[in-house]
Amino acid sequence: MFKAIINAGTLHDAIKAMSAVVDEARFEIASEGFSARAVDPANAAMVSLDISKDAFVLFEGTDGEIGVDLGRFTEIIGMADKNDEIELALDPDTHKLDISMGGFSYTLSLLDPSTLRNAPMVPALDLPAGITVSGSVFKRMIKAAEMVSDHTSFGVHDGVFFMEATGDSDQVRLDLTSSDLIAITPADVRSLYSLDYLGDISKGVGGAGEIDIHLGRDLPVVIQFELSNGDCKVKYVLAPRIESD
Amino acid sequence: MNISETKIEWSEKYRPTSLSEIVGNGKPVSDLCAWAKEWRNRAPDRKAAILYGKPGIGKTTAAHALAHDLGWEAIELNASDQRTATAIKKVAGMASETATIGGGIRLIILDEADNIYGNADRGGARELVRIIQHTTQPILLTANDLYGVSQGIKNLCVPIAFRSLQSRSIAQLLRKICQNEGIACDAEALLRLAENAHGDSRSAINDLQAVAQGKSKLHQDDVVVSSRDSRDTIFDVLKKIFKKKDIKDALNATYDIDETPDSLISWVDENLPAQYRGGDMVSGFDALSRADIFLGRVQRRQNYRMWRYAGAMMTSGVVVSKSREYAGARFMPPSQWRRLGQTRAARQMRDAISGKIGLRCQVSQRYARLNLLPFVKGLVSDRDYAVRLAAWAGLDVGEIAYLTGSKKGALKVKTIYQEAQTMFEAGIAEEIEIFGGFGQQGQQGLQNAAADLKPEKPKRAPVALAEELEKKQEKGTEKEPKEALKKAQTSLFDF
Repeated sequence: MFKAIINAGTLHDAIKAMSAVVDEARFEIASEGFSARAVDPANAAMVSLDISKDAFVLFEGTDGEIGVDLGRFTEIIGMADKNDEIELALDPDTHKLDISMGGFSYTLSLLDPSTLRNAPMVPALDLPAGITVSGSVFKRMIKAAEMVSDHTSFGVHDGVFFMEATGDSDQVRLDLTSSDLIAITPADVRSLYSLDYLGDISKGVGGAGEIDIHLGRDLPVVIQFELSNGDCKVKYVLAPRIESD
Repeated sequence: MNISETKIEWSEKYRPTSLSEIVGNGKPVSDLCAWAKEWRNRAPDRKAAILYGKPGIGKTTAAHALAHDLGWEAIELNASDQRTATAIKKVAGMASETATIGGGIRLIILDEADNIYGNADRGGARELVRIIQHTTQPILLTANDLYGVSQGIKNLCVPIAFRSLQSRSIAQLLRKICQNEGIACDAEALLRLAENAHGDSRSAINDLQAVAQGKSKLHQDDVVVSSRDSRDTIFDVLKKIFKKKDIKDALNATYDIDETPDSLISWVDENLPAQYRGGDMVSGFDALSRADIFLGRVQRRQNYRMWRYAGAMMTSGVVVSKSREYAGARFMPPSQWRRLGQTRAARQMRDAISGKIGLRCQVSQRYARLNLLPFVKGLVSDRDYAVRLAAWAGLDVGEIAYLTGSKKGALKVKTIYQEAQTMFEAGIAEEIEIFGGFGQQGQQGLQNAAADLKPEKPKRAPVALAEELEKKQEKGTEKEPKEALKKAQTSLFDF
């Protein structure tokens, strides 16, 4: 059983964050809220989404799962005005999701959850360095790197965070000291990441104000942020790129 | 038994998860392990391996089992996924360059690598070569046919051959499944299923599931699986046409075979004179000619409904033509097909020449072939004419040989070609004018002709000629071709 009412903007941002990595996702419904975990087809990027029931105007749910085509879902909720309320209800007989907003009532066919890929467990990662940066700085940083290369390094050295991208002919570097950042946990680290994924992730960040980035030496990066006053949490894990010799 | 249980295919349910469970193929499996062990420390020289062999003998299973045994994570791109260059780059490319989230090794499995262009673009294979060259993770390809894999990919891979399974091994496999499913089985029945599969364990298991599911006992008589790939042959149909009297039976038999009326009529046509004699043969051919008229109408009007009448005429019509029984001469395949095959090269040559002549005379290829080529063939017995013709139409050595009826390597052909080349390069337009000056009818036509000639002669001759002719038309004066060449001018045929 699942029935919920939620602000359109919040839902839109949350689904957009998911679709940065995958096209289809399996959502788990529990009495505490709504969550999903997915990994991209190359097993290189992972996303997890947790929407607590406090983010909803109304939430009634018992344990269950639904498979959703994120592209279709985003299109439909994109029809709503940002401040509209969207009503979601699962029809247990037809196994379709009824979506009502702004006078429209849609019926979205769901995917069989068993046909969707299983997301692996989030491994316990020991990432010594961490920074907190504003969403707009993060997006500009990725945009700058994409202009010159298809991969970029993130690292922390002497208490300064740096982004460095080297392409075939051009390169770009950005240093952010503690005064430019909201917070920093220093440690000497550096890893290389694919900008194909980071570019998608920066689009998924949407209107998030603060972004936490955790880094290690040649380890995956964890990028997380909160939407809707902390009631909706998004977390990405991206594996590092290996430099082939 | 509940519904979800019946839905699982046994071939999936009993798919081995570990290499040690794989039946047969000991050698390839140990080769695979040896290759995989090289990955423990660093990437080996050959970063990909290709498992090849018939369907259903455990190639993909071995790939997944390997990942399972070594604790690698595996991602798979199979044939049903999109396999354009972009899709391969996005999934396999990313997977090959990035570490795993957990820090282990990721095995990239690309199923049916021989089918990589299937419905995607050719860039896919090139992209795959690039990925294998730069990968940091092991890649396994599988293929049914090693020859279907492009050379570039093969050179980068360790080839590992998987053999078809013996019936005995398959029967053993089936017995285990029966035990597990609680089905008492007949050894004979299992052996029959196993033999029927011709070494393909997957289809053997599928056949077993088809005949045994839901039963508690499997007897030999339950094995009613028809042999795979069986069908009525064309010879059965011919027998019904020429030896039997039932008109309906003869017609119906054609529905079970995989031949179009176009090819069936060739079969009947070939065998009719050997089977029937005298008046029967005449009326048989009469029926056949009527069938042919219908086939012609189908072709012209694209109305395939008339195949029906053609089919009836060429089968039942021939059946009723016989007034007595004939003893059997052996049925032969249509000799027309063999002849067409043998003459294909010559026909292509003829068409190519007709095309060149047609282009110069401003007529269609067909018209040139039917109306001009016979004369040209006669005229080339004059050697001077032959040289001028070759220069004018831009014929190559093979085409000159065809027209003069000599061998390609003959001295005569060579000298004609060389003289024609010289004449061509000298660009003396008047001397290569034949067919009443058709060649100069239009500048556009000339340019097209020159463009057409260009690929065959990488020399600058066509350009020189065309430019020469252009100049002549403009000014009516002659210039050295070299001078003309210096003025690099772009025109239609530069692209």
